[in-house]
Amino acid sequence: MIVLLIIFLISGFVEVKQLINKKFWHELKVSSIFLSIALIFLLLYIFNLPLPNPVRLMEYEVKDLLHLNYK
Amino acid sequence: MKVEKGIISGKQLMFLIIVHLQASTLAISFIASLVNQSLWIIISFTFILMFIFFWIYLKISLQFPGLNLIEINDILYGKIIGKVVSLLYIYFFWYIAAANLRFIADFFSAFLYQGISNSVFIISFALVLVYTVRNGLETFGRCSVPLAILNIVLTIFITILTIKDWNLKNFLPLFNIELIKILQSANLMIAIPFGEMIVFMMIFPYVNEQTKVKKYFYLGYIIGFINLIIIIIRNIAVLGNITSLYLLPSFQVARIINVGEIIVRAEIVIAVVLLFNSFIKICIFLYVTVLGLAQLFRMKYYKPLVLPIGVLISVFADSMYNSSTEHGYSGANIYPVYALLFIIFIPIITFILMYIKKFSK
Repeated sequence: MIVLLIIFLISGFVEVKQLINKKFWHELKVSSIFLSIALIFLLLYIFNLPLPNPVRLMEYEVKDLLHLNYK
Repeated sequence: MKVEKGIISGKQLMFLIIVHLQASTLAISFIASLVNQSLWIIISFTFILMFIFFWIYLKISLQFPGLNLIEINDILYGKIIGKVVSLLYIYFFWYIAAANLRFIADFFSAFLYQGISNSVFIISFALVLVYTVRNGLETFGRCSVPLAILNIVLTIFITILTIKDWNLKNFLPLFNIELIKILQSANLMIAIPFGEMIVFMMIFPYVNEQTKVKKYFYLGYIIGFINLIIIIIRNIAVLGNITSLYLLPSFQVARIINVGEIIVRAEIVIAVVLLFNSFIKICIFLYVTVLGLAQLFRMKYYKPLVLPIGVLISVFADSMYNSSTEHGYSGANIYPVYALLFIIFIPIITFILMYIKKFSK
């Protein structure tokens, strides 16, 4: 995943640079938010810190809340 | 404002559907463990049942020509609720992309490259995915044509080569299953291969022949189904009751092929085809996720979002399940119920809402 982090940082930098050159400020704002979220999750994963898990949310909704699971 | 400027032809849509259905053969092993040799009947039944829902999807899409699911939600549900519904769909598409990426990585690390971590496959796959989706719908739309043809040719080829190993007694006894298992397997079929086709509601506006969308959609669905049912019948005829023991029955069937000690060990062909199919399927889901997000945030183009969403998919694909067993449990018992919300309930509400708005005008 460290490889992914390095590729992510380089590509993210190139992406942001292109958006600044084209003066797409709104796109820059939105993509910076998503790039930051992705970077935080990637770092959490690399350092083995707990990540929010969409599967647990789905299990909670179907199994614990609605009791509609098959097994 | 159009976020995607590329267009695909009706035929490319058809091939995308065929490849998408073919990629879902991965799901078959879940269902095979529930209904064994009656699998082909359940699949045929759900195939017919899904026409009702596809009619709803197409009716909604064709009522708003040139608009995709996200834009339709905005019109029908209003700006705030519409955005919430759209976000739910984007989350659903993102989840499917991550789950499929995990599945293909699990398959490769379990069958072909034992001892190598899942992350290796996830990262290498994700890099190609990001690159392809950045190039747009046209790129993977074009890729789907040779892949779909390769799929069909290989299905026929492997079926012919295994005919000598067929045992028709493997289909008996029929319906020796509990009602709850029939329901669960039908639900699984609706949720995984067929219901996921709701994703094409995001792609319909980018088909150049709008009047032929319906025709090519159904054609792709029928050809994809025929291909799928041939594979299922072949697998049951060759493997019988033990079909459910394998993560990928087609892989096992290809392993059995032996034509005069010359054509042997054809399973690698199945692995390669599976890799291509899953690649196109994940491409479709990653693409609609970023396209939906770009439309939700009113961006001029979606490309800056491909990299962060691709990274998020990779991180979650690697961390969402502790093992492939957990993935199997969740996929067979929890996900099918959860997916019904997006595949059946919300489209029906949207459909009713569309008619209420139409008549109130």
